[in-house]
Amino acid sequence: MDNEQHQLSTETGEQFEIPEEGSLGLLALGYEGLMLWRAKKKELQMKRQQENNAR
Amino acid sequence: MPARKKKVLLIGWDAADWKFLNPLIDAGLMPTLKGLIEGGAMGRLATLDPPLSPTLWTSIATGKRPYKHGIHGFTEPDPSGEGIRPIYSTNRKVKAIWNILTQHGLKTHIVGWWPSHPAEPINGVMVSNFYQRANKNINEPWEMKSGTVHPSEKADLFAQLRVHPQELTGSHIQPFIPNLEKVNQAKDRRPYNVATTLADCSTIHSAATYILQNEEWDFMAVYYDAIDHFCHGFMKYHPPRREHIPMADYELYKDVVNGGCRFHDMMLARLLELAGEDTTVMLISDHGFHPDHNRPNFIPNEPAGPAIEHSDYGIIVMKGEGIKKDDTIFGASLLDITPTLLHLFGLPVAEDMDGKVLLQAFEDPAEIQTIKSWENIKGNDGRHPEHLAIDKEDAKEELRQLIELGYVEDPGENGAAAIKATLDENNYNLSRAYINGGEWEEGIKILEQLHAENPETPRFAVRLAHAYQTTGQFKNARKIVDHIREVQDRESPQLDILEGTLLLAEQRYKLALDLFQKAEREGGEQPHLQLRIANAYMQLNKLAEAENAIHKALKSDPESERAYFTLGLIHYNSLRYEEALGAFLDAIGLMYAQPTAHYYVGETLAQLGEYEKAIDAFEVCLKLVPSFNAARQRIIQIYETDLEKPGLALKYKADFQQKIQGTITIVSGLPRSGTSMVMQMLEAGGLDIFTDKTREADESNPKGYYEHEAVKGLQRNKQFLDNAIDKTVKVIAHLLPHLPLKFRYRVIFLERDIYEVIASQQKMLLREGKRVKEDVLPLGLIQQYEKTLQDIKKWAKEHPAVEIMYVQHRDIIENPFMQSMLINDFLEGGLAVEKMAASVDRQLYREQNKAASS
Repeated sequence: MDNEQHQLSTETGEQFEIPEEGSLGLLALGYEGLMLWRAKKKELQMKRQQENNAR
Repeated sequence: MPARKKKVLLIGWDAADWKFLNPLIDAGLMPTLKGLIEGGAMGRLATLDPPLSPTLWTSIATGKRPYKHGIHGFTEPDPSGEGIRPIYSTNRKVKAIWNILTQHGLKTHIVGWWPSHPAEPINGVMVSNFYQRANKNINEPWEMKSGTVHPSEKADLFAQLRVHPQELTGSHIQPFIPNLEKVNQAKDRRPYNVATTLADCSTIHSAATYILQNEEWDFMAVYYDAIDHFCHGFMKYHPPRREHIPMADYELYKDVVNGGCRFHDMMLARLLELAGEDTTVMLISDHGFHPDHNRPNFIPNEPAGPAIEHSDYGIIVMKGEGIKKDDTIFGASLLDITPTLLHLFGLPVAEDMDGKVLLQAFEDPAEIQTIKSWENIKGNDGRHPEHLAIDKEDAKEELRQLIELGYVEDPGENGAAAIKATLDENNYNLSRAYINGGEWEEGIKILEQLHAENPETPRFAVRLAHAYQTTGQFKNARKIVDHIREVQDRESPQLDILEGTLLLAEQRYKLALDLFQKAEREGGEQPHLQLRIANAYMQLNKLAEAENAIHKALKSDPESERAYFTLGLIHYNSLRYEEALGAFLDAIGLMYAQPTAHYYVGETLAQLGEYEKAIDAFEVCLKLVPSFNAARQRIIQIYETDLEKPGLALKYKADFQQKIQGTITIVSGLPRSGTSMVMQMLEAGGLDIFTDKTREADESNPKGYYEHEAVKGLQRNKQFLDNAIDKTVKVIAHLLPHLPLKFRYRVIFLERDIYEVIASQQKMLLREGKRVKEDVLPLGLIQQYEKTLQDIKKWAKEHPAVEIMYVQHRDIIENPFMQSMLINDFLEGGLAVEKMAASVDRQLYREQNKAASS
């Protein structure tokens, strides 16, 4: 699990993209899953904001 | 007392029940729970009455019944006298497991326990039960109430870990409601209710996982109430669909309960991962929840009415070092959790706790250490100081939250009425707790007061009638039943069943049957009605009809262990032992922890000549209830008589004496053999008499009968004898074999010439205006009495807990002092012998004798 990059990896090391709309799996991970989801939402929000500003 | 370094994780899943978990486990949909079960020991966890979550979870955390721990409901009167407020952790009168562990310096964390607000200053983090619920829109500030987190400096951090229901998306809800897009959410609040429950439990889980990852810990307990909420909201839509559930609702919401369980399995996986392999894990629920044909069709409109949906057994799974693998725990109660936790930490169990250590779950159980009580052990235990002030505004808000959650009714503006209703409700719960703990006298006292103050509240009256009936106070029960009939002013099948049950206890079987049949005609099938009908038929010796009723009971509830047990009794009484054995084994297959069913398996096997197997069955019975001396007695008989191995009976004989729970003095004999006279002598001598004085003195017994109404029902109900320890009870001869073997009995048995006895009985009947054929000698009765006397002598000889003294009626009349001396010797001395002798009115008995024999 990599909090900085808002990414999870599976037991076999595969990267798992955090969906913006969240998932039960993230909630079941507990506070880490929650923090990663919130961070991902924030990141995407900012990205959209930047894109809007750039237009 | 050094504590062994050990990590224990206790997880609470409110309302989890194997009945709806097992199909998911079998289908591979709860893999973590499956792994926990396979690597540990599992079983059912018996709940307590009343089945209210704050009282039950406090019993779990203290090992004590509610009348000891002091939590009796959801609310209490506010100390200011202005209304009511929620129950707080400050209401708990005794130490919880976290207080005891804090005293031993163990790092202890508690999340969401009910009730745990305000959080106690324990040696670790406590997050209270007012942490998770969001009561405002997501755009408004979501404040943390003071006292939610200990230590308070962590409150801001934990505030960030909460999940608001409006933060969730369709992705979170769709696993519960796959056709979410078909719901008109403007009108239908049910999807939002799913979101609220999901957000609440995600909040709890978030806090628990944070603590596991960031705090040192020895003990961690986390309580999730979401399964209970999913069940109360959506079990009605759970498959199979019942006729009254609209198909559209069923299709939309049939997956919610299963979805909730699967989400808990996912959360469990994370908890286990964070706790690590070296942690002992205990997963429990406080009660179960009916997922099947036992689901009620309506919820009673009364406080705690939804509890009707609960079932009596929750779950327990234990896994860890030293815990048996893939094994089953039998006879566990939620009172056993704290004693077992203490044992896991190598700490002594208190003698004032009501539960036991679940030793059968341990591979190599260590010896149980005990102390008298933890309450007197001084030291910082992390409890609040006495009279801790609760913020009034917080209390109001928390009360509103309980109202919104549906736990309490809105008390309205009338503070005085709310206080009265709360006090009544808590007292009602307390009375139920006493009764559930076998403290009938205390429970009845409270119910009597509630009934006197609220004569028109049927549930107080119904419970009081039931308590009277169970304790053999049939006249009092009758008064209450008549009162309910008056107040209700309408026919009610439930009332007919109540009265029928009373008639059954009064041994008026035909009348009982008539009422049960009336209830069946007028109210259709009712829970357990066919069982009652079968019992009435059995008492009337109409075994074919009883069997027919049982088959009806099994048709409506094919998993009724009581029905199979009763069917076994019917076959047993019909001497159909093979079939009886099958039915008893079916009952045990449905619920293993039924000592009486195991006992009857033993009896049936003995009848079939399978003595070794019968001993095995009696052994199981003793394992479940070590004081079940009737089973011990049968093992002794089989070894001595049937297997002719008396040496093997010795151990059981020694155990028999050890398990005796007290001594009761019995005065017995045929009716009119002088038993009242001896009771009078013993009273004069200073013994405590067990009588309710219901049967008043009359011409036949001018000095009184010294009877207790409950004794008449001894065949069916033996519970009242718990109140007769160290007292003297009059028991008519033919009832003696029904005395339970858990007590030691000193029996003074009156012998009198049978012809005199019968003549005296006939005179008595004549005095009562009954028709008697005076000129005919009742030969049948004489033979019957002679057989009763023979049976009693055999019974007394066979039972090691029975010491019997035969006293001749004539000898007492002729020489009362000498007989008083002999009785005093038999009762181990200490009686006022002269007063005993003086109490015998020799003239009276001589006259009666003369009259009887004339």
